[in-house]
Amino acid sequence: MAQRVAYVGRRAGHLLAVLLLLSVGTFLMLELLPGNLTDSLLGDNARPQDIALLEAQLGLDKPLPQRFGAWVWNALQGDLGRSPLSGEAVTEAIAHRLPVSVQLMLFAQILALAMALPLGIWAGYREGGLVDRLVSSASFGVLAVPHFVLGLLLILVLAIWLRWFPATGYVPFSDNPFESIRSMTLPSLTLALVEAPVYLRLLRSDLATTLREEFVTVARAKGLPDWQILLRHALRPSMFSLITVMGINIGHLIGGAVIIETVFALPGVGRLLIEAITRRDYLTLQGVVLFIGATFVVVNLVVDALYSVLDPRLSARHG
Amino acid sequence: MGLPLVWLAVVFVCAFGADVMPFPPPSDMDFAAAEQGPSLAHPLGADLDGRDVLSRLAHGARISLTVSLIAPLIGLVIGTVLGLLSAYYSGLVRTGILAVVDAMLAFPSLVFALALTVVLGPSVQNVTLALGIMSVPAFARIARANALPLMSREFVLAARTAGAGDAYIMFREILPNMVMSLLTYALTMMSIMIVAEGSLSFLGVGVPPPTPSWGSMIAEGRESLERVPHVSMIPAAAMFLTVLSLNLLGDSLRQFKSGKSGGLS
Amino acid sequence: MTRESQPGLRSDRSMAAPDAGHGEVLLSVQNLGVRFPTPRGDLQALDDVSIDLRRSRTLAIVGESGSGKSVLSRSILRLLPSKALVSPTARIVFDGIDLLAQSQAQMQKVRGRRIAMVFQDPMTALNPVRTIGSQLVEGLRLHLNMPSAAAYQRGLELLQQVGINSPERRLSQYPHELSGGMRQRVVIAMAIACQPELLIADEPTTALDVTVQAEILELLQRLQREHDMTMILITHDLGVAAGFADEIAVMYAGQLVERAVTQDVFKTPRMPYAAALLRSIPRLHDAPHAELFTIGGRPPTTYGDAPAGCRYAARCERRVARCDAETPPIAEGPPGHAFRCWRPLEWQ
Repeated sequence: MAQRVAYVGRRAGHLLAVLLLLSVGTFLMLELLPGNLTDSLLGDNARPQDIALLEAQLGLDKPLPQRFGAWVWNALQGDLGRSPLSGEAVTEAIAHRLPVSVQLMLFAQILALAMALPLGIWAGYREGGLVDRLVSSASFGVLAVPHFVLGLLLILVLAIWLRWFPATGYVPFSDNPFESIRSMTLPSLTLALVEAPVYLRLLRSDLATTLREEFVTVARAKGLPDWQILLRHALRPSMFSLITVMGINIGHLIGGAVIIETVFALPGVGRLLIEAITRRDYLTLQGVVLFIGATFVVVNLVVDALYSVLDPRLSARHG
Repeated sequence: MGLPLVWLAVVFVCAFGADVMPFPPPSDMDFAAAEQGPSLAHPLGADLDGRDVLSRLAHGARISLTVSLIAPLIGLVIGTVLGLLSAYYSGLVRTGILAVVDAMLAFPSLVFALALTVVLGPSVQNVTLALGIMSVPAFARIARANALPLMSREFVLAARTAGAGDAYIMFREILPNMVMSLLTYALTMMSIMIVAEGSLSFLGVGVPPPTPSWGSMIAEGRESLERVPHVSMIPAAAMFLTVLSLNLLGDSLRQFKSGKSGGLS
Repeated sequence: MTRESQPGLRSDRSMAAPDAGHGEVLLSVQNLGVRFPTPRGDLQALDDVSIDLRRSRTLAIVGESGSGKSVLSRSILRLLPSKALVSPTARIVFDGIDLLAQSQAQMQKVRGRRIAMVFQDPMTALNPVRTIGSQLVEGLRLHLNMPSAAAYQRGLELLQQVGINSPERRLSQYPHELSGGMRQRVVIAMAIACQPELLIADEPTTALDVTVQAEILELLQRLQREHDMTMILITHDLGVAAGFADEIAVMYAGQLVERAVTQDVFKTPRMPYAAALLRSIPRLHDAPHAELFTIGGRPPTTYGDAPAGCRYAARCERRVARCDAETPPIAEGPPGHAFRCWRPLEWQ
């Protein structure tokens, strides 16, 4: 147990360093690159004294380390500032958009796993068989389709031609659960179709390798039926690559589902990010970047903890 | 194996020969023919403003190919150097590089490229640069993963004993052994780049108009998807076929490489 | 708690008189041939092997790597990879049932329950991500329908039987936390859990330290006596076979080449290969620094149909023209002693 805690502790330290780097990096990048907040607010022809006044108001005239320090201090207390463009507190803006992104991400992962798990297990079990070959070719094809194209295709077929689902728009879960799921289906399905082939391939190849291990032969020699061997013995050691990639995807999806959110007009964190960038709302941008980074760190830690649960050798080895 | 190469060759020829081919100029608007499907005058139809789809497709291919050739190159060069350095040296160099790479990987890559493009100003060069930088962490990781096992091999030790300098060992001894693996990944990266550029253009932050790009063509056809799907779907099909061909090529390259070094079966 | 009161365990045999069931053939392998398709042609792993084994006896199958001994043991339990081709005339009769004709579902009832196997490498034979306990009780719950609590209790007893101390602690540990010898004891415990009639031990000591090897062999012997099991021991070490087995079968290049009671194989080997194997065992009374006897050359690997002639001929000191021309059949010489040779060794 102590070993596990130490392992997770070390990983946490590394990831926190990453988080810090991310924040500093963003801060610096926004400082050094062209494009100014004041330009956005006041326009190109602003008078110098107006610019100076605004800068003083926003605290932009103080030296860089001091500004960064103040921002970090506030952030630790949960205050990410208030966007000078929209007047909205950054934390509130994120909080409004977060449920959309989370719902999208969860739904997409569930759909992706629902597709990838059974097919991956079967393809790995009967390596080289018909299902395996069909599924491999299909995955290859699907992976070649850019996700925005996929989204448009799904809209074309399922929303426009068949009218089974709405093309765009978002209904919050709290308002109407059924409609909410319905409005989320196409975007989640698009994401799931993008991720499932990767999960499937990873699971299949890991499972096929595991099935060649001696302890699987031993399990057969004990008279265990195939399904029990697959699910109880072979599945767990084969999940590592899958979980790693899933973790990366979940971490990225919170802010990274920009394309999907744009195609399906979903007010998620990704859209918030894009707007902040294009409108030069650097304060919001800084806050959202920190949030995404923090999410990534947390997800990574959870995945690492999962590793040590799945494979008891790990905590011993790294201890 | 012939088909992907044929398709890629067609794309290549169209892209770089677009100006000399008998296409109407891509910005020529022929309102009479607007939104029509394939016809004699417009073999792949016309878009919402009457511009010839085939011509725009060919010009757009130029963007896609340029980006997908140059951006991975940027990533390959910078990433390989970083990866090699982080494998060869330990201590601050290694920790520093790894931390930066991890920080970049923590961020959704498309958003990163998008931010860079917006901040730098949309143009072909900036898009290429942004995408190139976006691919650096992946290449760095792969270069490092390939270099690490090579570090403990005897020829490295031999070179060091013979008095070779660090740079020599890294670039003349270790690097040549990694080339195949890196190039294979570069091929994969090419197809990722095509999609990435398409995504950026689709979002409206890629190559600015009037230069056609497959991504912006798809975006333009979005509102009228119901009426005239071909405006979006034809460039989409082109993108799909190109990505598929690159992936198939990369796959057979991988099989060839592993068959070679895999020994007898 | 006596054995009779536990559900599903047979107690009748331990109560029976020691000679009852002796003489009865438990396992009869008939004309077993196994081939593996490869790009270079079908690899012949076993060629027309026939062996009978009586109840409560121990048979040692001895041979070099590649002689087919492992393929033979796995064939009995039908654990060969799916692309293996078994000759259509082959039969493996276990207590009246032809195992080769059983369906997978029927085989699953035999495996672990009536025939069990102990594998060579305990590190890879145990699932690294599951506890010892869960792997131990798996068979009990499956074959004997034991409820969890009873199964764990039985698991503790099994661990004690195989000589593992503090068994309660071991049940919740993982394989990597145990030493090699202990892991092998666990594998043995798993094998005898449902009291099988036949136990196949495939090189059970090869992956272990020398000091532990003797312990494991003693353990197997004791368990065999206590549970009155019939045993097949696969080994490349004649010395191990000597101390352990009632009968020895020698395999070479996929064929059975000699078969007799242990004493006869050691005192009066007929087939030159068996004799050579015996000579290559270093003995204590050999002169110091004497050269170790080895058999020159290597066993042949056959792709496609085997050429005529004895497979050992190329390395044999007693070779004559007939050995290259015709394949010697396996035939009985003195009663109970079979061998495959045109020019066997003679004894008075």
